Amino acid sequence: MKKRIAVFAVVLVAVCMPVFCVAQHSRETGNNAALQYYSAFLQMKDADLSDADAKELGEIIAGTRPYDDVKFGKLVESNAQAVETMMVGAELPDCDWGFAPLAKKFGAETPVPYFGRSRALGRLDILFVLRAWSKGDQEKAVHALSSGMLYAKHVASGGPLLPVLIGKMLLVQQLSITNRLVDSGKLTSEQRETLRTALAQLDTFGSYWQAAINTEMGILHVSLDHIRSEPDQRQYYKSSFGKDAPPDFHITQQDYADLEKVAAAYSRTLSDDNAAPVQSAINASTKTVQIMIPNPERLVKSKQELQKALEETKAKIH
Amino acid sequence: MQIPDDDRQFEAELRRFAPRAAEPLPPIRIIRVRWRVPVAVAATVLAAIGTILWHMHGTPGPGTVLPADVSAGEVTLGRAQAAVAQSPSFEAAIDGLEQASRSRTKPKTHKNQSALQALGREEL
Repeated sequence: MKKRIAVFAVVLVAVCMPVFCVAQHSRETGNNAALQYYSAFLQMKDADLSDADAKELGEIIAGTRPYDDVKFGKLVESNAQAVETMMVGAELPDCDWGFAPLAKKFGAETPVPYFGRSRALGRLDILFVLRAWSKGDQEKAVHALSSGMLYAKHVASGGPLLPVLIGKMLLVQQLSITNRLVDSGKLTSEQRETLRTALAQLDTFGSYWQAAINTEMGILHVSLDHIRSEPDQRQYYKSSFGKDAPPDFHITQQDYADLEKVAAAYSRTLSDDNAAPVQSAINASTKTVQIMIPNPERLVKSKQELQKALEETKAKIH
Repeated sequence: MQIPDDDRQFEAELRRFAPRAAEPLPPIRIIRVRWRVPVAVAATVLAAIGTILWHMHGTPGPGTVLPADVSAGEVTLGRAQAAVAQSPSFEAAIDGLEQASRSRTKPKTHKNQSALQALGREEL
């Protein structure tokens, strides 16, 4: 009898295990912030702006001009739902844009529609913050600002360099607004704490630069494979990268070897912020590799700019 | 069945009723308007111009809220990488990609531009 019960228990566990695994997987999928962000992108509503209004919008976001609700209230209002959906996503700990499996298969031709949308949504959130603040709703403004910072961090996660740059640029603007709110002297201690908590979560942003470069190099390796397998390599390069290839463009083993050297040098550059070794490796590499590698000096400068802005805001709010 | 006194009285009243002849209707004053033809011509011309402009631009007036163009993002990884590697600055790389996706979607009209596309650029 005991033996039968034991066998039954083993069979029961074997049957139920896949169900538990599916349930676990679906719960993890539901916790993916990127799903909320994709939903927010679909909720975004466009509006026609004159060139002068677009310029004014830029100045408002840059902080050189006050927010004008008469002009931009309707745009912010019509996108409030998209911003609030984004804020729901920002509360989730993980964000996977689903980029890796696509990049593995399609290489350079992987569609990345979220890059442009993510920046526009981040800017809409900034306008949302400024509008709430101008109407005296400090709580709403602080909540949207802290969510926006976490969103910017999510934008930068798990992808190549471009979304990291978008996340960085959003953060620099959000930190500037945080400074303005702190300087106003109107924030309550709870509101300051909300912002401090968000800032503390940005400490891990530093590791995204290295992760992005690793991703970038991995995709370039896949791209070299794809280009190499094509009969017309120059044409394939143009259709995949949107630029004309150099006249003598042809993938060789030397390109792979040079790419490895540059990737190794980039890792050192991002750890000590010294762009010289990677620049030397780029200068010594083939023309093909040279046109594919991001400028290391600019990258180090961007990384340092964000780090400086983050430290300034942290010092101000403490 | 007895008929109530009130009903008899009411019938008697009805018999005394004689309708009065209606007065003639006031004559309709016909106003001859000399500007009717020019107005009709002007309206036709304006309608024609409006139709032509509508077809040329294909967009409603400024400030109108439109749903986001979900196809506005035909950026590929390769194009993003090439932009980052070959643009004069990272900001220019992002703007270049935004411009590339815009050219595939909705052309900018003479005076107006998309708010979302403007927000997606570094240099607004």
